[in-house]
Formats: sequence, C-alpha cells, structure tokens
Amino acid sequence: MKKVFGEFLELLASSLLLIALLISGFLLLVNLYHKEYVGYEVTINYSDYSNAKKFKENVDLAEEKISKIDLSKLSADEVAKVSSIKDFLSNSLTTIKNSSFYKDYGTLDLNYVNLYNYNNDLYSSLSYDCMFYMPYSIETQLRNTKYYDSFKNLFNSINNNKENVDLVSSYIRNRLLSNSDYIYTTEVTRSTIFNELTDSFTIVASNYNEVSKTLLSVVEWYENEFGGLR
Amino acid sequence: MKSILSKILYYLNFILLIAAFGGVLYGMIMTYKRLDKNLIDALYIFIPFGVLFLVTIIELFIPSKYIKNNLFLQLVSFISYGVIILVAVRAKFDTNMLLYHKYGIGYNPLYLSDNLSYLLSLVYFLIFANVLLIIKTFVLKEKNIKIEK
Repeated sequence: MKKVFGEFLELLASSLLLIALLISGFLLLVNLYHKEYVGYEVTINYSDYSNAKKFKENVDLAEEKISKIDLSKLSADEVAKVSSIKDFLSNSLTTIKNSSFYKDYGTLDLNYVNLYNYNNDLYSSLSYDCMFYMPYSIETQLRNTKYYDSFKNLFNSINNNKENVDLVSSYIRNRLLSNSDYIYTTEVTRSTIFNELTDSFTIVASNYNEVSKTLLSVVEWYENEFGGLR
Repeated sequence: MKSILSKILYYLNFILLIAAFGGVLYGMIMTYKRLDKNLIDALYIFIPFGVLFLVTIIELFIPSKYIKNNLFLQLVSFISYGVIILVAVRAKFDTNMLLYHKYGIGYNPLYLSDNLSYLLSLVYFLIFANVLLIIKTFVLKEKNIKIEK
C-alpha cells in the first residue's frame, strides 16, 4: 500500500515538474523570440527620406544665413532692439546640431533605441527651444517696435506647428514604448509594432523638418526685416 | 552517467537558486525604490524562494535517491532557474526594450513584473514537487526498515 502511495506521490511530483517544464519552455522560447524582435535593425540612408534631406538642407541654409548676420552694420537704435535675436537663433541652431538625429545623418542601422532617442530629443528639447523659447523670446523683445506686427503672424503659425509636432511626437513616443509591452508576439503585434520602424522614422524626420523650417523661417524673417545677408 | 549528471545538476542548482533569488531581489529593490515603497510589501515574492531554499537545505540531510538521483527533477529545476535568471538579466541589460529608458533607473521594472507571476508559479511547482519527493522518501524508507526487521 505504501509503495503504491509512494508511486502516486512520484507521479504527482512528476506531473508538477512537467507543468513547470512547459512553463519554462514557453517563457524561454517567447523571450528568445521577443529579444530578436526588439533588437530588430534596418539599414537606412537619410537621403532616401525627403523630410530628412530637407531638414539637413534647411539647417545648413539657416547656419549659413546666421553666420552672415552682421550687427555692426545696423543703426545703434536697431542694435539695441535686436541684438539678442542672433543669440536666440544661434542657440536654436546649436540645439538642433546637438540632437542625435542631426549627428547620425548619413547611413545607419536604425533600431528602436535610435528612433526613441531621436523622438525624445525632439520631445524634450528641440520643440521647446526652437518652437517655443526662441520665437517667444523674440516676440517679447519686439513688443512696442515697428517689427512686431510682421513677426506676430510668423509667431502664430509657429505656435500652431508646435502643437502638431508635440502631438505627433507624443503619439510616436507612446507607440515606441509599447515595443516591450507585448512579450507574446502575435501577428497583430508584429504588424502594428515591429514593422513600423521605418514608418515611425519617416514621421520623426517630418517633425525634425518642421523644426528646421521654423528656424529657417525666423532667419528669413530677420533677413527681410534687417536687410538680408550683409 | 545519469547519476553523475543528476549530482552535478543538484549542486549546480544551489548556485542557480541563489543567483535567481538575487536577480529577483535586485529587481524588486529597483522597482520599490522607484515607487518609494517599503520592500516588506514584496515579502510574498521572497517567501516562495525562502521556502524553496529551505526545502533544498533539508534535502541535503536526507540521503534520498529519489531526489539527488532524479534527473528529471534536477533538469527541470535547472531550466526553471535558468529562465528566472534570463528574465532578471533581460530586465537589467536588454536596452532594446524601450520601457528600460522610460524611467531612467537603468532597469525595466515593468518587464520583470509582467513575468513575475510565471516565475513565482515555477518556484511553487518546484516547492511542491520537492516536498512530495521528500514525503515519498520517508514513506518508502519506513517500509524498507520494516522489511529489514
């Protein structure tokens, strides 16, 4: 009787171990599969993406124009009013050039971490520095001057663009963060999350292009108001 | 050969159990530090590991062929501890999972918590299986004694 009871106990223990083995096997395979998916990389060339290409062109053009701003040729009255505008523009340019998106320009193996960092730079610093702080500072400085009205229209359009950029980058950020949510990869999660790397890059590049367009538009406004390249 | 392999795995499992517990403990410390919660609230996670460790210590003093020579038990234990360690290591080092970056603590607490119920169930299964084999050892040992008499 005791032998039968002993065999029964062993059978029970083996059943429990079998379930443990199945769970372990499931977790092991799912993890290895998930690890491969979250580490997915795709080789891209920035010049294949029109928005990324335009972004670089805008930044280079803005840099060229800013470097040619010569305050010494302005009248003393004008200098007093607009002396710091060049600094605001230069600071915005520096912020853009310090972003990882700008630094990585060329061919690279794009993965989720790269893309997340690009979007994060945009979300946390570029949008604020180039689409809020810079235009707002210029707008404040130009109050009660004859240049205010011409800048006000540009300022309003920048504000509208900033809302769009923030909204899209926030959406992309949340979507990217979900790359580690679904450990059990199904066809649905694969098609909605893992296959969107290049699509998300296109959207992020478009946002960067908006930022560069903002900088360039303010530089061009400055050029029109204060005599262009000197 | 089977007996040697079982014994190797038996002693290796000691180290792996400690490593698995260390991995989960580290994860819970990181998670609870971020949430500013007391680690005592996570006691229900550590108790199964403590019980399993206790059971393993008890087995050291029971010269049972049903446990030390049980290749299936040792192999399943080995794989289970391996999976627990794998999850703990991924939560710490797999930076491709973007939630790793979200909280800026150098750890992915959500990944660990997603897997924690599976890991604890593994530990519970191992506890029950070991306890059943200990009981079996005592039941059949008594019978052997009677036969000898």
